[in-house]
Amino acid sequence: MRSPIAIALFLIVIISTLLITRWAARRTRSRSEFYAAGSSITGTQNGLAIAGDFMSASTILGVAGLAFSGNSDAVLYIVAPLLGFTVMLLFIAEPLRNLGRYTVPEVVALRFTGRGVRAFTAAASLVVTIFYLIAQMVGAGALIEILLGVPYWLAVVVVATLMMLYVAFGGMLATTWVQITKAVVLIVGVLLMTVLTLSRVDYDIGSLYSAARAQMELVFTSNRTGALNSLYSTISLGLALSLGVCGLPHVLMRFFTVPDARQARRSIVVAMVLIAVVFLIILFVLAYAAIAFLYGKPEFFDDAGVLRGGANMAVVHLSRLLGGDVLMGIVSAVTFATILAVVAGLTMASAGALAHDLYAQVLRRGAATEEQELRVFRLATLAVTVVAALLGVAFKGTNISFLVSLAFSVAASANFPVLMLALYWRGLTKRGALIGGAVGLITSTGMLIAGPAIWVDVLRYQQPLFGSNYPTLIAMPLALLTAWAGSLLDARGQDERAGRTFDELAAKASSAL
Amino acid sequence: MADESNVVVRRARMRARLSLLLAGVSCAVFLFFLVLLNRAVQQDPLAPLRDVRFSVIGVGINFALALCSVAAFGYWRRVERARAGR
Repeated sequence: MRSPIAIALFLIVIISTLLITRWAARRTRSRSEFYAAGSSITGTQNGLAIAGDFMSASTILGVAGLAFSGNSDAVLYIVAPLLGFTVMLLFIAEPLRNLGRYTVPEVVALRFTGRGVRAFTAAASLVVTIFYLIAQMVGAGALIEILLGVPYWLAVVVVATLMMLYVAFGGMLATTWVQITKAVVLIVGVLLMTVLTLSRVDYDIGSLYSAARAQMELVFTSNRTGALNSLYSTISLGLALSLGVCGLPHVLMRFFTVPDARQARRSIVVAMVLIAVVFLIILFVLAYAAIAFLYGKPEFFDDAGVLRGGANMAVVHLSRLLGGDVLMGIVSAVTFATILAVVAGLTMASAGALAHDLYAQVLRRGAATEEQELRVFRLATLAVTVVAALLGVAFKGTNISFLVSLAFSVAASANFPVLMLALYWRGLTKRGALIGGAVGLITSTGMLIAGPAIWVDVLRYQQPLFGSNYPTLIAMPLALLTAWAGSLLDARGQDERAGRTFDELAAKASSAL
Repeated sequence: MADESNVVVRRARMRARLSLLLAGVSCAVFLFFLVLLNRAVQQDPLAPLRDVRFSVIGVGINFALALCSVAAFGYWRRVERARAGR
């Protein structure tokens, strides 16, 4: 599948993003500029960056791939995150902007004295971002291997090196502009493919659906397996995909980059519109077009009748059918830019948790100088890059959707309950937050390991210990319940001073009416 | 000074209650949508793909709720500002 046009466009993406990093590096000196771009990003720019941060290659190609293989879960993947953004708009964006400066754990830690809660929330953030990063690395390696014909490990190393350069030298400013560029390029690419798709059916979308439905009758003959088959899995995955968004550190830390709460609100509205439009086009136009046009064309399938490169490559094959090598090159470059933008955001969140929370606040108890912290930030970026690259190579071939759902499940079960209770429940104590967060983290990861995707498919046991791959419906309520019970039983934590701290923070959180 | 602080805390609580109400409605509607999806799949595994209305309604409802939230808060903020101005 190697095409000179694709290679040229990949190089253009690499050069453009490195130029952005060079520009940003000249404007990034202080801690505030490194972690939060000096809070100088406007709401609209931040909305574009959030959209760029959230719409990962695995989400975009994965949604079309699910629909292409006849899995109705695709609908859930496009609808559920929008609820998450509504919850974020109502409860999280403004308090985060008003209370925090650089990272999410510091907002939670404002409620409590000592370092325990901060260390826990930083560790939980790291777990989520590392799982997410592995998924992106595995996806990046597989995609670039197929598109450019380079070895998997080399693709992983190239992506890892680029993400390290963006974050270590350009900080949040470079990350933001890489994400904005990606969002614009993605929207243009998706619109271009939509016009070309519709031109094939004389701009009559009804005939596209008719053709897709006719193909569905022919090719989707057996019952498909997916989360929607059981009510438990449907609700559990729905919860993970919606409320998990509110616990993703790389998305949440974007609210520190805007100057005030008003711009934070605007960011979410802009991001929601962009994400909804792109997701709807991908499902309603591109996935249906792939079903209608690709099935029945043997050149896109191997001898076993499987789409070349797997179902996730449906959109890429569709681009070749619609616009030949040129369009496939453009779509490949857009996909590459997508991967780079998401991994940069994830690296930023991981390195921030390591340098600002674990090193500067937990280890050095706030005594580290700005210079020392930034040096550790760069070292942390390097460490995260090496770990992500090694894990990306080690996890080669692992189901990407599963890794992403793992990150969402942990985010929904450990990060989201602790953040919400810390912001809105006066009675939460340090012990309650730690117990609830730990129960959410352990239960969600434990149940995922005991579920069919790891226990049976990876560890090769005959029967799973837990019958579902979706633990959120159990893990998240359990985290909330144990945080509540732990706080009620913690008589020492319920003193007057803790109540006053909460009132002061609540007032500050909603100060920008 | 204490009065001012009480007003801010009262506004924060009111805001949290309004958010809770809006989020409660959003979550209830989403839950209903999930149950509908699950029921449709029991009848026909491809129903949500065959019938594009599932996605249109799902995305549309979430959007409508988000826009309602923005409008409700915009109105509430205007009322609060007017009250503070008086």
